[in-house]
Amino acid sequence: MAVALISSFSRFFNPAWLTGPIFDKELRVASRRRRNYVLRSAYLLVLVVFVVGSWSIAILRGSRTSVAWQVSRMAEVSRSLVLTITWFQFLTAQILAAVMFSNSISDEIRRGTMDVLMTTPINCVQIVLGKLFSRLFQLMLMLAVSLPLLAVIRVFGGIQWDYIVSALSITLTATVFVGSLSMFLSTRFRRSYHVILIMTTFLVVAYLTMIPLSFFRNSNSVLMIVILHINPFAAMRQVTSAAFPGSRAGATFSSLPLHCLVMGGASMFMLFASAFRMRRHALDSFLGTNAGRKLTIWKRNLSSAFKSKSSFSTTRPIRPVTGSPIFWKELSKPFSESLKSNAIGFGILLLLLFIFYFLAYLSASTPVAMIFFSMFTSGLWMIATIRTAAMAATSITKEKEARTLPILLGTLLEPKQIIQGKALAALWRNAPAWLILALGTPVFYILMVTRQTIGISSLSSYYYSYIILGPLGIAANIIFLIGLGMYFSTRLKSSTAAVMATIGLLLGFYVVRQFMFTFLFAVLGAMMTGSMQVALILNPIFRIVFNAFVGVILLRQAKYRLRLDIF
Amino acid sequence: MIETKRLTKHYGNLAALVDLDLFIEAGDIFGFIGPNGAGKTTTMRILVTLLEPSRGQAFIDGLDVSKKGKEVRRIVGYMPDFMGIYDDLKVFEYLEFFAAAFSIEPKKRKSIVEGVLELTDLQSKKNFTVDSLSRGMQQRLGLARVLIHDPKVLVLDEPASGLDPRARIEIRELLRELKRMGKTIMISSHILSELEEICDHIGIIEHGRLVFSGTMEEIRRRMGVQSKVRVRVANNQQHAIELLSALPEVQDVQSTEGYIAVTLRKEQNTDGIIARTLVNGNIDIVSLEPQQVKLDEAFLKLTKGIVH
Repeated sequence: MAVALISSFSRFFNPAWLTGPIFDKELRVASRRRRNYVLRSAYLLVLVVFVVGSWSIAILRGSRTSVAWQVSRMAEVSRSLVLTITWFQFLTAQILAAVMFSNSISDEIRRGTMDVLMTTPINCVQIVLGKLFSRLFQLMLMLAVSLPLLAVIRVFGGIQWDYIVSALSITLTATVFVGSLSMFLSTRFRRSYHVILIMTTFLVVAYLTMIPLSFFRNSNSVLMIVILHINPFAAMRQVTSAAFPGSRAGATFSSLPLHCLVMGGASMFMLFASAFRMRRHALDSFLGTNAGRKLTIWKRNLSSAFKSKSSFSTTRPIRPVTGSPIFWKELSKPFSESLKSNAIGFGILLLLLFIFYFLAYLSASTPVAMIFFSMFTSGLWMIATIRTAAMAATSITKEKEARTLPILLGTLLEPKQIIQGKALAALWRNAPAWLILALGTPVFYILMVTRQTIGISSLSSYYYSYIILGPLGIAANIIFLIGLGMYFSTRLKSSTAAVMATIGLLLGFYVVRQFMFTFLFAVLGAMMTGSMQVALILNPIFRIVFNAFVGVILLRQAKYRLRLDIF
Repeated sequence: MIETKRLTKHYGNLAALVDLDLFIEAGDIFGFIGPNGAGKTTTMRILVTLLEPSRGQAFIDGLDVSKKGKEVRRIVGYMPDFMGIYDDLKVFEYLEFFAAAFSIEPKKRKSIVEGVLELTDLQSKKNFTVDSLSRGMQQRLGLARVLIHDPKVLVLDEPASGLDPRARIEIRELLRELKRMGKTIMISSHILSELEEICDHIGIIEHGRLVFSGTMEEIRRRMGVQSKVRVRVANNQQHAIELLSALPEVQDVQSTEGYIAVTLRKEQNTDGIIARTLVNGNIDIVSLEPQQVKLDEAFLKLTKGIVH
């Protein structure tokens, strides 16, 4: 009796009971995938760049002083390094979680293995948890890489253990939540890049909500408390501020456990929602379409209001092929409708832009409008960048996955025509955001100058150069993004891999470039005064030439490779 | 119309094709058979300019596929083993898209698309989205796509795989119609009985090497297989067996399931000899069926290395 009880208890508490054989299988498969090793190496490489960059900058700042003074500054350097590592971990863990979980369920459904799994005694919760824990395990391995480094740096002093523990707790709960949300979305969307796009937009918005917190000095306001408990970016910012003496935020984030609980609860909700959707999918699959759904009338009305593309396709008229056949095909909707949706998007963004213009006009003497405008444009820029790059990255892999590339290349279309058509489509879909950024920002700066918010005398060379070079910079950036995406799209076989490679390289590239630029600032600052202005003017010119040049080369490579990696 | 000379393709260390020499006459239907991984698809992909050969040459209508890619694609229609579809397009749009991709003038596209829809009996489906079609319909749509630019040569990689019997018969009839239209067709399939019925020539490939190429008659000659005749008699079966066994042209006689299976010696003129012998022996014949070697038998023997 006692043995039976112990046996059933041990079975209940055995982790295998939670995940079934899925955990084991996922780990085994992951260990065979080359991309996981590439990912770990890339993570380590970027981390090293970050750490070396931070270290160099911190050291260079005091290069003109004595060695004794530099030694006394070690605590400050240590703080800077810890800050760099914890924020790097926080950001990359979430991005990686969003990407790694984006195909967790959809791949099983697409390959038809989900139906097979459902015929076994494994239940939906075990599948969901098995996938969650196995991928989290991979992520934890990467996070663990930097722990010894944090421990060593701690020796220099200047930072409390509380900060490291708090930052790691927030990173962990945020990663679990982002992974769970991404997994839930993978039950909704067939293609993983759709999930990646939604998740990156979600992360950008979450990041941007952190910025207004700078304006709230009172951490006890209701809005502040709510934001701190539901937004990991805000929570992370708060614990970072609290770790630095004399920082503006000042207040200590005392309810960290509550934040972790909220995030944990939200993750659990997402996981159960994923399991529920999987079960419904299985019922649909076994008993016929929609058999697993018990839709109420309002739900039916709601779903018809947001009609899926396929139902849209059956009712719409046949649209004749006009212009470039590839460009025509890439637009899932007729050109006129696409134009309409683009016009609506452009209209909304334009409206927002005018609100900021109006704010700038009203608040001539304060930097509020400038801060909010920067927030708006950086958010728009991030979303447009990721969308453009991801759309370019999936343009050829989509054809490979659907196995339509051989028949497309069996026609008289030249690789150049295919690449051009796909590049134009990626640009067309993101045109409203790029137009607003290219034209709206210089106008805003001019407005600020005329209202003397910046002040003509105090207008730095940066703003001058942006007004002139901004649109050119955006054009060059678009060429670079599309070139990079297209290149990986012709090189790799799956859309997920192409999007991961493109976004990963893009982030790495931006981070390295930013560090190089900061490093240059530090060196110039240490060497001479006045050289900063030159660097500020040269930087955008260098960026334009570099982006356009690399983008064109990548596009040419994509054209060349199109016929090489067909199968 | 189609010719390959010492065509070779390596994937790393794996030799997918080794010195393949093929010749297909214009207007023929050429059946290309072989086990999985034998090199059929690789050959077809090289012919339609999707792969570069490691060595050797391939010509279609005198055009070198490695050098004159665009000209070759103009006269070739290729249907891959797995038909990829654009699920967000309608049947008419799908075909019009490919018409545009083959640089057909916008004015002519509509009539051409209508024509191929009629030929493939898909007119009633032109307003359907491609992904809503059944597998058989999708295969027919694939054939319609292949025909959109009126190619001289059709390269079809397992067009009947995964289809139900009705859809297979329909595809077979369509291929016959295309042959009547003068198209040269290279087709691979695992359903050997179908190839036997429609093909003029057969090529058997194994481990990247062509083990046989010729007509069905040539297969029989090459294999040296004796003809068999199944006889059913109304009376006195034992006497019939004795009579037939005594004939010098007959190698073996066996009684099975109410029939008499007669194996004739090879290269013997046996026209009418069995019927004549039985009639002279006062035996009533119910049926007399010559049994010839089947393609699947030949395939099994040729690809097992029995015949070299």
